[in-house]
Amino acid sequence: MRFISKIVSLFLVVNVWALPELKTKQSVKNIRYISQDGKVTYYQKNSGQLQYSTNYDFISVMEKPKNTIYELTVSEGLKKVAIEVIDNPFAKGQWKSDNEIYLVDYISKQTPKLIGQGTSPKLHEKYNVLSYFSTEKNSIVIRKGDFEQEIKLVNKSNPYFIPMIEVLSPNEIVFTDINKEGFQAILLYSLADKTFEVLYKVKSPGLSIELCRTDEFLIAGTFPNSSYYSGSKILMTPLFRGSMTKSWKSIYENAFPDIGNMVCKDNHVYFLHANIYKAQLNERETTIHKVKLDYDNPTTSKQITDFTDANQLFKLGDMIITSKFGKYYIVEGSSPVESDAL
Amino acid sequence: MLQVFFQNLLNNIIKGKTLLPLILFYSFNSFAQNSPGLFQRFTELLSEQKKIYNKLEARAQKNSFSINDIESFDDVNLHFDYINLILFNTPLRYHYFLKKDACAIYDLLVTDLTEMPDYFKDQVFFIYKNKKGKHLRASMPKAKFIKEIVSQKCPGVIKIGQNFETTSLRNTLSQLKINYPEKKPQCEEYFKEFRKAVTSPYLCHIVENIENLKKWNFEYNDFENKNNIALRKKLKQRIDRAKIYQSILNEESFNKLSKTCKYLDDSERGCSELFLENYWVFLYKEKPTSAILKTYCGDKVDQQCINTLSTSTYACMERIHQTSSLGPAANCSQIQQSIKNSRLKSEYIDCPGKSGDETITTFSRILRHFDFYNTEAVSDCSMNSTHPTADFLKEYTELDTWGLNICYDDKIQKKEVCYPVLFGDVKDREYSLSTVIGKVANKLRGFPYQESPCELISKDDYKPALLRFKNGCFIIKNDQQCSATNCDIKVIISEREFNNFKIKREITQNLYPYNYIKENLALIKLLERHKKLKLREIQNISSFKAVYESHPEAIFVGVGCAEDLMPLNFQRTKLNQCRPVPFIVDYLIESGGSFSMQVRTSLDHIHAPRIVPWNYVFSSLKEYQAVHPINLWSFNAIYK
Repeated sequence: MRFISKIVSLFLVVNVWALPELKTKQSVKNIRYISQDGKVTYYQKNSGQLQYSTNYDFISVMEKPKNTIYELTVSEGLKKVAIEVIDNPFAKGQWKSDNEIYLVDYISKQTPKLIGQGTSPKLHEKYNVLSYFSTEKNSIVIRKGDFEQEIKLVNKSNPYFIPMIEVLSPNEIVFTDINKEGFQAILLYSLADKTFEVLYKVKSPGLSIELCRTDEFLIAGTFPNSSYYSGSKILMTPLFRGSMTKSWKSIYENAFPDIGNMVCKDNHVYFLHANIYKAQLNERETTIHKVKLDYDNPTTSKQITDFTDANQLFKLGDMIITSKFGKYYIVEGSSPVESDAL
Repeated sequence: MLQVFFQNLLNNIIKGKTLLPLILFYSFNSFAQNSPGLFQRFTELLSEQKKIYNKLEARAQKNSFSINDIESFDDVNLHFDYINLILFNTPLRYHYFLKKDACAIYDLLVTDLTEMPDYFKDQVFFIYKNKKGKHLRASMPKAKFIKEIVSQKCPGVIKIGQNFETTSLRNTLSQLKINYPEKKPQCEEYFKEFRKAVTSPYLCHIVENIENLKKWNFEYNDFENKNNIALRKKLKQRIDRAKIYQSILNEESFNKLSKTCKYLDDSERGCSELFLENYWVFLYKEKPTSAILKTYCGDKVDQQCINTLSTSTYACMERIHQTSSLGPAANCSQIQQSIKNSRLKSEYIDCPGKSGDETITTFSRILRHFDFYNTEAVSDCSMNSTHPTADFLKEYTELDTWGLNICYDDKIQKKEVCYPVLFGDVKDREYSLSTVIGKVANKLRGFPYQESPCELISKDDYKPALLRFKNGCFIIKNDQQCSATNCDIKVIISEREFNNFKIKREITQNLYPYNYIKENLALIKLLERHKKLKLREIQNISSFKAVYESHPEAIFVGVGCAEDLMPLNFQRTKLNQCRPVPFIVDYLIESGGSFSMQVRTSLDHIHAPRIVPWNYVFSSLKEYQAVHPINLWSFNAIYK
């Protein structure tokens, strides 16, 4: 009996460590968004159409010329969809040109509304805010209903920098920027007062900042971008307990340069951790870790899978996805196809 | 393998690297009746050698030789056993010199690169045909043999030898152009050339003399040799000669030649030795005007800057941060290592962010690497990133597909007339902004642009109140926002704004084809067709290595998803997100069975390569292939 239970536990361990591949009824490469229950799928066609399907019915969202690429951001509460329309990126090589950004309700038959020109739209549903970055204007655009405000970046030297943006309250925006010496920093901007406050600044120009937030905390990761003298760090600061600048607390450190790609979910931060780093090859052996966001009692990070050498980690609806060699794997959440019931 | 093994074995016992010829010599020598075997004691082998020498000497003495007995100098040949003795006593690395031609062995005799034992070093054994047609054995003192026979048989040897005599050496060295490799990938080629060059044995002779100076001085002053007048006289001559060599050959050339001669048979090690020093120091000494140093030191290329680059962690990151390219760059130590290994030609300054089109940036780098449209120095870095592509398309397509034009309504012809343009000036190019605006102003306002060309000026420098701006044509650019392919300009002609033109921007230059109909318009296809360059698809490390090693000029060009290629810089936040980025690979790093590539993406400064693991490169190509309209694998070697 004991022997059988050991075999069962071993089987469970194996199952826990293996990551299921993201598989869908149609080619994954066409999918732009899939809901957790698998009932709603936004996908694009080679002809240039963006459609969504639900209950074996499909609705056309918009249509653009052939080879247009759509990138979709769906708000956490499944209310809005932001669509970035990239005009044939295979024929053009202009990184600094802005794309059309549209907004439409989730699974709605309405025509998407053109919001502006930029890139990397993000929906901050709690405050009904859409943010995006205009590379041509070098500005963050904050849009709430018809109200729009631009925040000009200090960075003038790195033309390929795209800031990370979080909305803390109806009046407060947090974003990353680079100063003229090449140091990244986190800034707090007040929409009402139009004032800035530096919340955190890295100690060397080789460190990049990533941001995510929960209801109570702002989380910042500092990861060595291409210089390998400093290690990696994840810090958190409470949003509503006095000065954010003075309350930063380190919850994770690694002497090796992690890839990062932080994702905040369910009071944890998930990220790509470097177990080994070979400096000559600039090569990391990475695994996916998570650390509990406990400000008062920090805990150590845990490896959640032995899936190695992933180089990306991101959220798709309620799932956390990683990719390797052109395939996508589900880190957290179940495969949508399994629960694709009518 | 065995040869290497025994060579190394002996190196631990004696200096001289002569075991291999020794083994070969005894393996093939017919008169070594009882084969000594590989483990025979070295002293026994030397004694065998002496026996051979004595035999040669005895046979030669039987014949009284006179130079007049020789029927033809073409029929004089070194005795086979004597050739074996030379090979036996010549360090393995100098055997390369023998491959040149039949006279090469005399170069070894003249230069004393053979390390013959003293007792037979001065005598040469040969066979000649006398006037009766009979082949006879003879010997001669070496100096006399060279003067009387080598001068007739191989006059070139004597001529080169004369150029390297102490009296003419200074002049010879000043005229002799040795192309020391500037980067590691060229180093292998340098060694190959050096092995073939006729002057190389003489240069190694000079180096060996300088290296032996200390030893000879010691022997000369050694108490034991005090009464050996003949030896001391010989040593004195050598010392004097070596001192002259030392005074003529500068220290740097000596160091490089010394490493070259020392590692002639091990170029891999030689290349490592040649480039062990800090590459910043190497560049400063060898090429202080290099564009690479200009990138990192600006106009102040001095020792202080070199010291900073050699010691500072962040200096290079901070410099690259000012260059309108993707940051942060690697640290100085990594950058000097990467540039040292680079094959891509990069003697110019570019600024990818100011190009405005990443495809054009990479394609211009490819053209410049193969020395197309690379003749002039352009001070505007954004033009360096773009004008070679414009020149190429001008030559082969008349810029029909350029997609960036300044247009005006021609009221006489009743049609819109457009001129292809770049937002900057390159000498004598019709697409230069000042020429295009001048032409339009000439058509619409009769402005004499040929006599009084329009002037490009930055927004900050334009002060309309100044006298110099009262007359003439001024094109005002906002440098902060302008790139070579995207710019809002303002034109003022004699204090009046001139705006009767439109800028039409629809640049669609693609490196690789994205559909079958326009496949031949892809830049890489045009390059293959018009410049006769070869393309080869690279799917794996083996094919990469095969092309890299067999084509010294080959570079590797790909387009992949930035999110996979540089996950630290570009985080994927959406499913199937892929921002295509062109890149060039020019070096492969191998360690413990893993591979990384030296990559310059279109976003990186040309002097700030990055090291990217092969699995990232592969992932980026694979992901790009998956989203590509014709599922193209976009990674190719390009070579001549």
